[in-house]
Amino acid sequence: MTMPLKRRLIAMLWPSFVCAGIFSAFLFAFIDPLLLSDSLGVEVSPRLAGYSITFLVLWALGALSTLFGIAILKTPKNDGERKP
Amino acid sequence: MDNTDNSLKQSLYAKRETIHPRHVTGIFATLRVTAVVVLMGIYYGLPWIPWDGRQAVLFDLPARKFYLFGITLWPQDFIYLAALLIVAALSLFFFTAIAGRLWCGFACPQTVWTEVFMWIERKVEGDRNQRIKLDKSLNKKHKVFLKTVKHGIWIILSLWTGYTFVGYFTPIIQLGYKIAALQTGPWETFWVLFYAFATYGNAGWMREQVCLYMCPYARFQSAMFDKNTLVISYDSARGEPRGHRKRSEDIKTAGLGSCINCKLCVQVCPTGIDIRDGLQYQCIGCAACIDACDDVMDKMSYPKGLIRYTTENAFVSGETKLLRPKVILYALVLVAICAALIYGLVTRDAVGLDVIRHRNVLYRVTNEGLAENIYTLKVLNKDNLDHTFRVAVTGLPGISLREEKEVFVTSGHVEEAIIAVLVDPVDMKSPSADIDIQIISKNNPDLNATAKARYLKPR
Repeated sequence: MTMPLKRRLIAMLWPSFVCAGIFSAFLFAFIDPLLLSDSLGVEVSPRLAGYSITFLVLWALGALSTLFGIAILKTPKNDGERKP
Repeated sequence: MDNTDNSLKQSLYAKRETIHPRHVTGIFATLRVTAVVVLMGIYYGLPWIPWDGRQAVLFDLPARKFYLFGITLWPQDFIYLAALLIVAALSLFFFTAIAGRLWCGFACPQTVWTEVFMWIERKVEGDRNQRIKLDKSLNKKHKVFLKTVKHGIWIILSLWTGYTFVGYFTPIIQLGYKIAALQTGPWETFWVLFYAFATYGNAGWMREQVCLYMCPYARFQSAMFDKNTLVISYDSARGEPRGHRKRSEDIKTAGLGSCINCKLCVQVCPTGIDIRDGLQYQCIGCAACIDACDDVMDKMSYPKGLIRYTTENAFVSGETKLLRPKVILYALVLVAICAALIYGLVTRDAVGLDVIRHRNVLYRVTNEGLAENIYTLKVLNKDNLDHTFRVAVTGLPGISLREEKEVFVTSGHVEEAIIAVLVDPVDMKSPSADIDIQIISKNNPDLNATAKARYLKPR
């Protein structure tokens, strides 16, 4: 699995971005970000900050998950094929 | 072995060569420009339309309510948003089944913004040949000047796009004043710049790579295709063998097809493919090659349509079946969901009422010998005004509230109220019965809601 950096970056950042958007919309349709930050015991206001930070955290988690995925796709067998 | 392996990998992920699409005119180019003007007009214009002293379309996230002209939607109305998304997805399926990648070629924001950015590029740097020459030019000063002007205009347009985007979520006029005074909040600033950067990057730099490497629709759209779907096709039976010839030459005696191999269809293609190689997943169905080829056919006095919008069936048997089971099914589901959505919006209750029985005390008997049940009411006010609601109970003989209850709920909020309902057990024939609990707005009796609740008789 050799893949250029640009495509790896796209794979990492793009699908996670879309999913973070969908999850955020779904989450905040049911929960007020002010209540969410209250129950977590952190002070986040105004609401726009709550939406934004949650979105960015979800995005980062998604990107991390894809990074993990890309890493395990690199099997030892493939590595062995590449001779110096 | 290793070397061939490497070169194969290299070619799979070939370094991208900048595509310089040639400007094209014709019926499909006119259609696309019309689509671009209309869609851009809607995007940039919509937030500026006033309605009842507020912005007509405002997804007011800070206040957690959406305004759509005369309608106000609360988070509780999420179902409508979900239905809208389903309608959008089904429409995409429907149009793809009939006309292929209509969305990609004419309506996708990626296409629309790229079209605008390419228009700016053409105005500044000239058409294809001038741009290719400029890129190779050794006249540094001239090159840097033109590129700076182009990127400058792109960046200004991108920033305006970002401002407009945030203007859908926070009142756009106030946002404008805040930007002018450099007093935007950190997150407003972030989102304006983020969206501007995305616009600049996608429409200025990424272009067709977004369609090739990033777009999920491009990957699954072929699943909606069948032999009756409109696609852009090169008529190879008529076109081949291709080759140069003089206008006066008779193609029959020369043994040539209609294709003069001018390669204009390749030069106008925004994704840089050769449609004569057959249908490819890179083809976004923009029909630029049709316009270019029809022009050439005209000049050669050949009939138009060497490259044309057609279906596989039309090629084989000359017939296209429009109404297939798939198309009918998409249309039916689409109409049903649209109807449900409109019905739901029109008959939407402006008040909501939930009744929950008291969990621990099933019933009580008062000193007067009456049965008493306790309920918690959740009153939701989706109206644009604050209301005071009066509570009423019906459904059993002699049913009454222990004390009159009024609930004040501000616009867009939920309030709880606890009520005690009294009934003479003598009047109850069965161990339990259904009762109706109603809330009625004091200043507008049309605004009311009723919920059923279970009443338990003491045993």
